[in-house]
Amino acid sequence: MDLLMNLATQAAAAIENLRLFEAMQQATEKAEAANRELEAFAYSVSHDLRAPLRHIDGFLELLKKNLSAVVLDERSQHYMDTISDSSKRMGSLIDDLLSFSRMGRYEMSKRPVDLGALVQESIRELEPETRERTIDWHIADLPTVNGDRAMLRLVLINLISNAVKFTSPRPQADIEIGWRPGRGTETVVFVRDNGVGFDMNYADKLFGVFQRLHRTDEFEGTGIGLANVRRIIQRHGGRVWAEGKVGQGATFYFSLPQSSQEVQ
Amino acid sequence: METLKHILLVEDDPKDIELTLIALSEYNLANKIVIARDGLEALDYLYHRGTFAQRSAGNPVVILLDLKMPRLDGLQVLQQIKADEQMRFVPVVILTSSRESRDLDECYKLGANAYVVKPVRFAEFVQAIKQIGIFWALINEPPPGSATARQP
Repeated sequence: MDLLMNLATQAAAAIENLRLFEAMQQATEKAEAANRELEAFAYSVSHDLRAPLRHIDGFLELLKKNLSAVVLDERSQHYMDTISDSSKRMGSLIDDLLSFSRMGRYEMSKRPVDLGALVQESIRELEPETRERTIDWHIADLPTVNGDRAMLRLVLINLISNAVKFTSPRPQADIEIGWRPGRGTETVVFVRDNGVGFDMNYADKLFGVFQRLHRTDEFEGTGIGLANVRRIIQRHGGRVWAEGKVGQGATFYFSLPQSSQEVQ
Repeated sequence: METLKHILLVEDDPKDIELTLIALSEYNLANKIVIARDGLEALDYLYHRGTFAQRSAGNPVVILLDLKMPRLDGLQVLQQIKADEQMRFVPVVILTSSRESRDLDECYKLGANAYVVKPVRFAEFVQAIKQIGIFWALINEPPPGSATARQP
């Protein structure tokens, strides 16, 4: 009797496993179909929206040239400048939307990544923005983590470039990059700055696509950087969050689920 | 009889045609542009068929080829040109809005000589078109079979 009961239990478990496996297959297929749809959408955005944008810019410039003999009143000039600025802005938004959708489609390859080296590389990449600035860098001895190097590089460049940007009103910027162990085998990395900070009441908007907590005339940007960061870290199985205080700087955190001790 | 050096522009969008001609006009290349409005017209021109049956001999010094056109698209035109013994040395510059890697890969695989993404900003667009025109029509030595005479 016991033997029969054992066999029955094992059979039931096997059937349940098969059912779960099939459910997972279906979910994966659904996700892949959604990915392909997104890819087609992003492709059509890339091509179809850029053409009329190019025409707006082109014919506006030609119009300006044609009118150069005429002395335009200030108002007309202002209207033309606004059209030109808006089409520039539309171009940036399209480019950023495309890069964001690419983040979701790009094939990840997880390897050990030396975060310390990656941070140095990212800071070098930002040299045009830091050249004329007084920045005090405090960089801890960062660990090796598991992840896609190119994607993590983008995360660091985004976070560090934000720190550089939002500390621009400060005579001296203090930017700290450090880490600490998180839950289980997590590694938590942070980028802290003494910049203009943000209102924690709007913290949930920080990582939204095209969401910003500052006006374009206060600080430039489209609001895609942190959305990209979140997308990348989520694909690594980690989390992103931030703390800040208006006028008193901000700290941006991201976690990566495997520490260097476990190499896949 | 020598025939004039010319550029074949394959482009379906009339606004892009207008902007390209304006960009080329500064270096006196505009009167040596032949326009094909889609892939079929392009091939008719290259093979002296249809409306172009009577055109004078000699291949264009470069083909500026858009990718997305109705009916026969740029990739198909590229494929036919590069597969043809008489035609395959004619330089083809892909001129497109698309920056997608799959288009880039396909075009180079089929033997495109260059791939240029049409800049959105007009000043850059003009620069790009001018440089392409100057290089292929004035600086480069065209392959055998091209029309060779320069504008008197």
